[in-house]
This record gives sequence, structure tokens and C-alpha cells, in this order.
Amino acid sequence: MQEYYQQFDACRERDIPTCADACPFKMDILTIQERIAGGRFNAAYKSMRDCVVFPGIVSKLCPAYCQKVCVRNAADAPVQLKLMEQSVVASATRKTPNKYNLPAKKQRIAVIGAGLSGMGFAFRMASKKYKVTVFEKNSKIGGHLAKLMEESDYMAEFDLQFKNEKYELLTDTEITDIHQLCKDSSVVSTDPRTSDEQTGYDVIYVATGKGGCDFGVPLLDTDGNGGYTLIGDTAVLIGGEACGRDLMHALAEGINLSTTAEGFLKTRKIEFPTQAAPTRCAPDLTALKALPAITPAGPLLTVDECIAEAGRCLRCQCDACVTHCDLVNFYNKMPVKMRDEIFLSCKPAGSLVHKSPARKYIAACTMCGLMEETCPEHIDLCGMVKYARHKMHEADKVPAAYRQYFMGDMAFANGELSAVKRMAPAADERAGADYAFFPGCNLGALDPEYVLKPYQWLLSKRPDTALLLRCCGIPVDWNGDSSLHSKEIAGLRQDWVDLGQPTLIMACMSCQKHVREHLPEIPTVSLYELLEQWGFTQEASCEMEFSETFAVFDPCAARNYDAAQKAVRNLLSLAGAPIAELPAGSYHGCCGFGGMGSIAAPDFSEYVARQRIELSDDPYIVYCSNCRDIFQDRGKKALHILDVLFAIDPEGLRPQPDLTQRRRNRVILKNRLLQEIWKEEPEMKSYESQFTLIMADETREKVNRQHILEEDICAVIANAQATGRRAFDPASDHYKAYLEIGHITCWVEYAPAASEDSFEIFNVYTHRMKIELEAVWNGRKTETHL
Amino acid sequence: MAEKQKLICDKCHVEMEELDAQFSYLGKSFRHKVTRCPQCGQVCLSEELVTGRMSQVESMMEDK
Repeated sequence: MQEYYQQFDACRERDIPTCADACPFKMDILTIQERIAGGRFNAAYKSMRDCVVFPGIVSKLCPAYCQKVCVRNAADAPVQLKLMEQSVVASATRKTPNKYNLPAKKQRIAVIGAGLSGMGFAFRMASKKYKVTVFEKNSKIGGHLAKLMEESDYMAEFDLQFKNEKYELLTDTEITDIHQLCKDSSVVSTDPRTSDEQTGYDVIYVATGKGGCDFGVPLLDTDGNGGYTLIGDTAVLIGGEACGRDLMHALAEGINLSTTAEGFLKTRKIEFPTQAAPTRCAPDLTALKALPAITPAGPLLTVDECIAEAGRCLRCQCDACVTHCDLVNFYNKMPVKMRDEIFLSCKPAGSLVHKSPARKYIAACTMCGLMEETCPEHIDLCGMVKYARHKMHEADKVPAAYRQYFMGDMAFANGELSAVKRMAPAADERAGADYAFFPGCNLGALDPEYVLKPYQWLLSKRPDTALLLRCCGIPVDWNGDSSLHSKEIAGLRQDWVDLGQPTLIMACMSCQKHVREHLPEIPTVSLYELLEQWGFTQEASCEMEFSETFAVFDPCAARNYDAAQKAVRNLLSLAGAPIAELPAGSYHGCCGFGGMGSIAAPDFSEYVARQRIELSDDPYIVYCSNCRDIFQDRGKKALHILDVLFAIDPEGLRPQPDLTQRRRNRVILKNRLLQEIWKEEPEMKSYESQFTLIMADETREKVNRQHILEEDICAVIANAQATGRRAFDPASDHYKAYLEIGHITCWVEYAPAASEDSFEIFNVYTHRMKIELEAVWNGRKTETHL
Repeated sequence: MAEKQKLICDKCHVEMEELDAQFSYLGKSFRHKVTRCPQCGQVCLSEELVTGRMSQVESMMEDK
């Protein structure tokens, strides 16, 4: 857990955009752009002033460092932030600063030099109500500004910003010995102003400008960073152009050092601002589309032009996770927040922390791994979620109803009715097989042909190819059941050993990924690579006419499996299928099946499925049967590549089998395999329901949606008929009865049909809550368990 | 309202009434008035209750 937890420290969620990083003031450009885009110019002006103190001066003189690094440079022209700032200054109507009634402070601050940097420092200290005195050797303030701007302009700006702040200005006063101003009993002051109660200043800011006197204050380094020293009890700071900075950085430094000065006044410690690490903000540049810069009609942008220009700003932020990860997107929580909630949720149930804020989305995650791949820091949220599932399972914090159906289905797939482990009929039992076909459990459930036809083809090429038909065990891993998972993995390994350690030919990418992860000693190859390598040619009877283009939808488990992706495309080209690629290739999440969250978080699964469906208007060709199910269920035409190659359902017209039919299909598959391949007459139990159930299509669909099998319904009816525990509704002549099926309670509304052992089903609904019947009711002992 | 709901317990052949029953989920229990047989105590939940309030409570408890 620690390992996963620490990964999130690298998250760049809070890293500022490069333009803000390049800005000497680290201006909050995202907020300002948002405010401009919303037409809130007064608010934008306020944000600017909070950062730069004198927006009227800065917007005119700043060389716009931000525009040099704007990501738009790569596409067209940078966002004209400087022009926008000027326009905001011109358009804002409420520029008078707010008046704050703070108590006056008694500490005294001296500023040497009334240039821009000194004035910025003086403003910040004065606004905190310190007693500020500015010494200027010339007769006018502004220093270097006089050469760059009209005097009236910058004086007006000073007057505006200092409207509510008081400071003492001493012009024509040159300081030659800084010790005059210091609080130091060892130095005898000659300054007439330092009378008994005014014995020097607490902080002195030296901002004497370019080439100005540094009073021997040591600089921090030669790069022109500022410096500080302590003279007696006075902190002397130096910064601005005196340290070789340009005008904008000089002002920024004046503003920043006010924080240092205040820190000193409060704690007597000097914390010099440290250089923040460069931003690692990595915006998603795929969203970058050329948009020409707005050319203003006049010298400045009008309000509407300014709003339009704000629309060109991408609002760069590191949001790869929001763009790519369905979980982050749907639950609207950033990964760091998720980490903390997942961490909490993994605490054992008996601990003081008993909340599980992340339970829902831990159960919902599709485990597609896209987040880790697309995150610039490769934070493995999926891995953490999977780990958390195991932890929560251990702590018994997962509602068992979440994956009860899938566990039952896996048991069925590995049970005697459907699992097959056989050497090929032509093979020598003792020699062991080189290859074994591993179709996975879902293909045959969808249609037995998906297993029969490819296996017959494989046998025609390699008659000793064995067959291993079972579940790969990924459902238990997704369920977080560590002990059962190791058991399943051990069982799968044993099957592989029994077959003579063959290379497994995988038809399902999820199975292959899972086997590679947990049983790296088992060599695997995808069926599609082998079809290509072993020279697959379509039988003439299977060739089909294509009237539309298909987009190839790579399953999430094949995302980085180039060989399989390539083989699939080659096979489709050989079959003459006109194929197209999805916009982001294989870089998309799961279809919504993965992680088996569809019962725990149906709304999330639905959202994910819709997202994948909307990737393209073209019908899809997939090579994962789960993807096919998900899309076909939602009316999106999706063919399996085997549909195309072996003409199994080339038009995608076969109705989707319901859950009961899927089980029957598995039984049919096993029977047919034994009959057609091994020429045996199997003596197998059939999988038939106890009763004949008559259901309307809508009811059947509802049953399916709730993951209820016909056998469950039969069990409810059988129990009701045997015990008489059922309610009769005289209005409709229907019975209502229930039975606990594992961790869910299943209600059935039914009526006996005309023929024997057949029932008409009108409604089925389920809940997870348990009905606790009293042991004694009405003075009589009752049966509490159903 | 009561007229419409006249369910009959098929075991005791009496009309079912609105009575308290105990439910539990994720280690918590609560009581609610549901249709029950006054004699044998068997309950009958309507789909409205199950998919409405009950499902809400379930999902609230899961989110905790």
C-alpha cells in the first residue's frame, strides 16, 4: 500500500501552467482567464492587482514572458495576455482598492529607493498597517520608470493604489550609512529623526535601483538573487534592480520580500523566498486546434474581443487522468483525493476508522490500466484499486452481492458441465502437446461456433493441438479474493502441466493478460497471431461482401500488444474488410465489462460503455467477446473478428443470448466438442430448468439485467410451492414469493400455467438487504431461514 | 388504499397487514412497516418498496 500511496506524491495536479510559471509574479492566469471569459472584468482586475500591485504600470511595461512560453506558439500565435491585461485595466470600472480597517502596527519599515520595486514593497507593508518610510535621493519617485512611461501615468497609478494606505515619503534624502537607520544600541545614531521612542527601523528594504548602493549587504549568489543581513536588531533586505533584475522581476521581488519582512517581524527569523521547482504541468495538447489570434479594431481589445481571446486559452493543467481515466472523470475526484479515500477504505473493519468512502468506485473500476499509461508520472491508480479490492475483501468490507453472479458463473465455467481439458484425438497422450487452444469462458457461451470452428482449423494445421476450456480465474482477482485466486491460478497451472506444458493459444486478450501476469512461466500466444502465422485463408463459403467500413476496436487488454493488433488488422485485410482506426488508436479504456463493476455501479458501467460507443459512428470489429456483448447489448453493431473469418454471425444479427442461454451454450459446446472432435457419446447431465418458464420479452430482459438465472427463479417457485410461503393477490390471481439466493433476495411474481410444471412469470426483482424473520412470531416458533 | 393491497397469505389464508419487520444489511439492522401475515409472519415486499426506498438505503449504506 505504501508503495502505491507514495506514487501520488508526484501528481502534478496542482502544478501551475507554464505561462504562470514564467511570470515573475506567478500570476494566477487560470483564474484571470476564467474571469475574463465570464465577462467579469472587475474581478479579473482585482486578481491582477493581488498579484502585481500596480496593474496600470505592469500591463504596459511587462515584456510578456508568458507569451513566449504559451503552448499556442506551436499551433498559431500565443494568447495575447499583455493586450488582454491592458484591456482589462481600461475596461474595469471598479478600480479603487478596498479599505480594510486593520489595527495599526508599531513596527517601522524603511524603504531606500522609491523605484517600482521599493514602491511595491512599501505598498504591501503599508497595506498591513506597518509604519512605512520611503527614502528617495531624487526629488521625484518612480526611479527608472521616468524613462519608460509618462510621469502622469505612473503617478496616477501610485495615487490610485495608495489611496487607502499611508506612508511617509522623504524625497531628496540620500542614505549614505545604513547604520543610521538600524536599531542597534552599539551604534550611536546621528540621525536627528531617531529620537528616544523612535530608535531606528525594524526592517530596511534596499531598492536603490540599477547600479545603486548595496550598503555592503551580501547577495545570496551571483545570479542576481537578492540578499539579506542582520545589523543589530534590524533585518536589511536587498532586491530589485540593485541586484541586477529587470524591472518586472524587481517589482515581483519587492512584493515577495514583503512576506519575508513580515515573517521576520513575527518570528525574528529570515526566510528568504526559495526558487520553486519549475512546473511540470503537462497539458493535453491533442486539444490544441489552430485558432487565429483576435486582432483588435482599436489599440486595445473591446470587452467582446477580450472574451473571445480568453476563449483561445487552453487553461493548461495536467489533466491526463481527467481526459483518459473513466473513474476520475465519472466520479469527479482527482487521483490524490481518491488515494486518501482508498487508503481509508482499506482499514480493517474493526478499526476506529470504519468508513469506506471509496467503496463504490473501488468496486466500479474497470481495471483497464489506461490511467497509469497516460499519466505523465505513471501513477498506478488501477493497481491501487486492485490492491484495495483484495484488502477490502480480506476486511470483509465488500458487499458480496456485488460479484456473486460472476463468481457463480466462473464456478459453472470450470465445472463438469462446461470445462474441457483434453489432448487432441490424434495426439500421443504421453508426449504432451506443443500447443493448447484456450478459448476462455465467454466465447463459447456466446455461441459454441466461436470455439468449434477455430479449434477445427487449428487441428487441421497442428493435429496435436490440445484444448483447455475453462475460466482463467480473472473474476476472482477482480473480486479481490486472494485465497480463491491463488487456488484458481494453481488449478490452471496444474491443467497446463497435465497437458504437457504447451503454449496456450489465447482467444481472449483479458485471459492472456491475466495468465501472463500471474503465470509468467506459461508461454502464450494470441489466436490471431497464430491464425496469421499458420497461414489462415478464408474458405470460399465464408467470404462476405462488406457494405460499410468497420472501426477496429482493440480491447483494453491488447493495448500494448502490438503483435496481436497487427495480426488482427492483417487478417481483416485478407478477408477484404474495409477497416478504419479509432481516433486514438488503442488508447481508450475498457468497454465497461472489466473489473466486473456492472452490478456494484451500473451507472458507471453504462457511462463507460457509452463513451466507447461514441468513439466512432462506424460499426466495430472487436476481438474480445465481452466487448462484443457490451456493444451489441446497447444496439451498437459490433462483430467479433471470428464472425468475419469463419462467417459465424457475419451480419451481427444473432440475438444476444440471455444468462441462462449462455450456460446452456456452454453445455452444448462441451457436448459438441466431445461428439464432433473426440467422437464420443457423452453421458452428461443436461442444464435444463426444473420448470418451464413463460416470460414476456420485457420481463426476460429485466431478469437478465438483474443477473438472475432461470434456475434461480425455479428455486424460488419450487420453495414457494413446497412450503406454501407465498402471498396471493386476488386482484390479479398472481402469487408473490421470495427466496434468498446467496447474498441477494429474489422476488418472483408468478402464476401456474396451463400445462404441468410450467409457470408464467410476471415480475422479478431483487434486493441485497436481508429480511430477518423472528424466531417466535405470534407465540409460535417460525422458520427464520428461507 | 388498503382495499387495493389485500394480499392473502397462501399458508394461513388470512389477509396480510401492515406490520413491522426487521431488515439487516452490512452489519446494521432497521425496522420498517411492510405487508405481513399476522399469523405466520411471512412478509411480502412490493416492487415499489424494493426498487425505491430499499435500494436507496442499500446504496447509502454502501457509500458509507
